[in-house]
Amino acid sequence: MTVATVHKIRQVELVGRKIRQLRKQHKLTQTELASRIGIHQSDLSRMEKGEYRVSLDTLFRILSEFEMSMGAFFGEVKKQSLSSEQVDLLSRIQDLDSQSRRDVEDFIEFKRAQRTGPGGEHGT
Amino acid sequence: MRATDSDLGTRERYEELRRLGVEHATNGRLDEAAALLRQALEVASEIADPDLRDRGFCNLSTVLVSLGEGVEVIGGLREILLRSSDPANCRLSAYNIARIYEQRKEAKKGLFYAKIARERGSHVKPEDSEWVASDHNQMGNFLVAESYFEEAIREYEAALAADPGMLPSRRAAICGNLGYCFLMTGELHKGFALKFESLREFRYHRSENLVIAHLDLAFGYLEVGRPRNAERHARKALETAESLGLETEVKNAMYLLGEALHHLGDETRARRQFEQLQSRFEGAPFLADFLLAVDVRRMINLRA
Repeated sequence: MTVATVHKIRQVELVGRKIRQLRKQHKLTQTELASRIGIHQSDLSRMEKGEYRVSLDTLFRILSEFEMSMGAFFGEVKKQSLSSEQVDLLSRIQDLDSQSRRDVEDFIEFKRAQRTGPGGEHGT
Repeated sequence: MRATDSDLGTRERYEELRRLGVEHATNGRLDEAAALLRQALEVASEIADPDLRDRGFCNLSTVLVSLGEGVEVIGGLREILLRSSDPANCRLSAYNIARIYEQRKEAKKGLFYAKIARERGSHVKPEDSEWVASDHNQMGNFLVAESYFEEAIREYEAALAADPGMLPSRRAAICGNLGYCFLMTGELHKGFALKFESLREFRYHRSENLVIAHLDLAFGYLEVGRPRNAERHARKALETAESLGLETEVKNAMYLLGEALHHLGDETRARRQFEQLQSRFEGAPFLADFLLAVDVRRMINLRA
């Protein structure tokens, strides 16, 4: 099994929660969203709880309804700029606690400074 | 009302036409069956026996629904269901209405009528075990479509128990349905055993159900982390579904194949597969990227 696969988001509950979050961001009730994608409100409710599975057609209608790119799914990051490895990295960072995330950010800043500072990769 | 000699002769003609119609239907000659059952219904209309007329209409409906022409009969079936006191006709009406909703993928409405069919079927004489099995199987199908897998398992098990002497092809279909539920509920060992049992039978009869069996096995092998086997079954499903022009199954197979390739670490071919799938959905230019990043397997129901 590849690293990418291991870190793929598998939790249906997580996807359900994300759909709920996006629905609320778009100020849609369950009834409104369900009507737009052609399913019953009770089914959408069960889907958000991770209890209801849908056809590929229905899932893709939901994603299209939110114009859901990977960016939208992983926090409004432009999808075109990300490869799947990068998305995977993002999801792994999202799994960390807040202190660890800050550590990662600090490390990224350190590496950026190294790269752009005197003597760095692009510093001359 | 007493039957006249003329009625008796007419009834015999009706019975003969009905028998021939059912024989054609059983052998898959649906157009011929429909023509004969239409004649039978016309003959039944000459007899002063409303239950016989209703039965003629229900028999014709069974074939027309199989031909995808349920819209022609759904009104008449509802009428019989509302007014008839004959449990067999009510059961047949409700069962056929449920089949029409199954074809339209309206599981909630289908489930409503399937419940009626099962309830009315329980009032039919006990030797009609084939009906009882069909009713339970139909209930199971709607419950699966609604993601009620545990409940569906009970229905499929009841179907198998109701008619132990059913035709092997029929048994294979129900075992296949039951196997899918076990795969979905994590009882993988039971699921695989049933799926392979049904696969053998479908292969023997070169049944269209082979597509479903391969799809389910591809899904099952992904669940147990054997993507090579998943790839093999997904490819067979795709090949068969394309040859039969089954659009939904083609899309499911493409998805499972892409998923299997991704699990094998072949991102290039996985992406290609997902892009092919993406081309079948308008207005979703992000699908391939999305599927490479997010594992939606546990959100998907191949029978929804």
